[in-house]
Amino acid sequence: MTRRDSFLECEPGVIRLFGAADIGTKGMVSGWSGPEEGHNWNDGVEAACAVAVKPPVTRLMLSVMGEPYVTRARPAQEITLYGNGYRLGFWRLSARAETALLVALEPEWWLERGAKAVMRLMLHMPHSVRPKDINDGQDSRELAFCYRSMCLRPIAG
Amino acid sequence: MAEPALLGDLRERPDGSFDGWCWVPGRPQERLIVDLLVNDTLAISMVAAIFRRDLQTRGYGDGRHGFVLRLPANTEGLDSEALITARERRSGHIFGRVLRAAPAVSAPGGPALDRVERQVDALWQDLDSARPPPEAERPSQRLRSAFGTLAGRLRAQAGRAPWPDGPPIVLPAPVSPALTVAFVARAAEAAFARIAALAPGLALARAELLVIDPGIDPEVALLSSRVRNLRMLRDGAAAGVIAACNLALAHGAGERRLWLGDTVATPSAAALLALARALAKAPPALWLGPEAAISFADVDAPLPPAVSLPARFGMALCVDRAVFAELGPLDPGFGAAHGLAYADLALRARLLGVDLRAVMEPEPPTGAAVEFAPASTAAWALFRSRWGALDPLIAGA
Repeated sequence: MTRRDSFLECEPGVIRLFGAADIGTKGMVSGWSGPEEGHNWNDGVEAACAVAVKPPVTRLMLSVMGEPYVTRARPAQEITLYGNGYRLGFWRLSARAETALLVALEPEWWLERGAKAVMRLMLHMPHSVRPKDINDGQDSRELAFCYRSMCLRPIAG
Repeated sequence: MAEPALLGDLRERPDGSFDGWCWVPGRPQERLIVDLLVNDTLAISMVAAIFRRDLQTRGYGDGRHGFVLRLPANTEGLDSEALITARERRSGHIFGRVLRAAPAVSAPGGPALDRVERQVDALWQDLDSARPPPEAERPSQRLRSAFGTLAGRLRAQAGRAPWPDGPPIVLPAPVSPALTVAFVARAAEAAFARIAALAPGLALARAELLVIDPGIDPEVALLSSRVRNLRMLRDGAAAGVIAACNLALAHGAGERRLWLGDTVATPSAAALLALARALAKAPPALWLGPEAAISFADVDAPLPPAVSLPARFGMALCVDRAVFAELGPLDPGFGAAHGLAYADLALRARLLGVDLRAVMEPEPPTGAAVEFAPASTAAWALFRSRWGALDPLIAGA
């Protein structure tokens, strides 16, 4: 079994790439398919990842770029994002196009663990579906969103 | 020669985003963080980890060292001309610079301006035919030049180029160019004509073009509206040929950097291709062309046939990336006497034992140790004080 790093260490302002080249399995706790070239699919209705930044934490904007798995048989995907138990955002996506999920993270939502401030991000995607179950190829993973990049940007002021 | 600490490249795409790559040969699997700066202010950062087949083919790690970045729309400085710099975060190493042209604005008065210009042109022609003046004293020439400058400023302000509309010239953007061809764009129209003439040869010779804008003609900034993939550097201080030459030599990505002077002919596609092939077979060297107006007795030996071609098309200076890195820049202390600055560089090369070729046109002069273009007394004094001890002919010149 592939060893999974506990946290994805992030530097605010730096765009990180899902997939084999950069993020790989770092911080990808559960609910993920294997990292591919330049992207990473979820596999199942819940996917969790753990990110860490260096304290002190300021207000940060989390942006996640990717593309929802939308077909005629599955016309929309829904994503609810939780961070350390807080409900951060909800999106209903009906266009199969590059999409940005944006949410502001308050400093008090982070948990300080020694030299790290950590946040466990839980993505709830109830409409994940196996393409082969809807006659869209042979893929047997339960897909909802193709994750391409993420970034934590400081929010001015 | 030591292995380079970091390799990388930055290009502007036609859609306004930027792509490039960076890689450290000593740490081939490491993913580096790239900072993109707009006018020296950090705008956006990314881990360079996108797979590129060309990098893999060249043996640059596993090829996963690319990046693509789009500057956020609210980035400060993007509403005017901006210098975009790519920097590796940890080392601070700068590996790419692109001058992004100011966005063009609509020009509602443009057609009217063109009509007035045509009418005034006709007027001057009438004036000349009515009273033929001496060639040099022709008042219409002076007026035309003054009006031309004014029209140029108005057009530049309105975002209109002085050349007729047409399909864009698409310059090649080779990932690792064999040659960087550079020149100073003093006047927009002449620069445009030169780019149009060079473009086919650049593609054939796997060469990139670097244009230095000395800020003399405001319309030069409009070149990028018609020329795709144009790399333009601004010599903000308008510090002359030596500074411009140093800029081009420092920022070119080509293995060899070729400097075209103002008075040398623009090489045809065939000549540029032949030159690139000849240079690819030649050992690393510093080449001096006819504009350098300098020759050394010890380089009058016949050139090998494979590298004799450059003598027939003209160039000011051609230098290897590695040689230039070792020699350092041209000395701006020589002011306008760039012939002496080239000579100084050549003599430094000789001291370091760098293989030197001075290529003259049409025939290499022989007999004199140094020939040079007219230079100021101060530049001469500097040159003599530095190199007089080396050669009695220099000391006595």
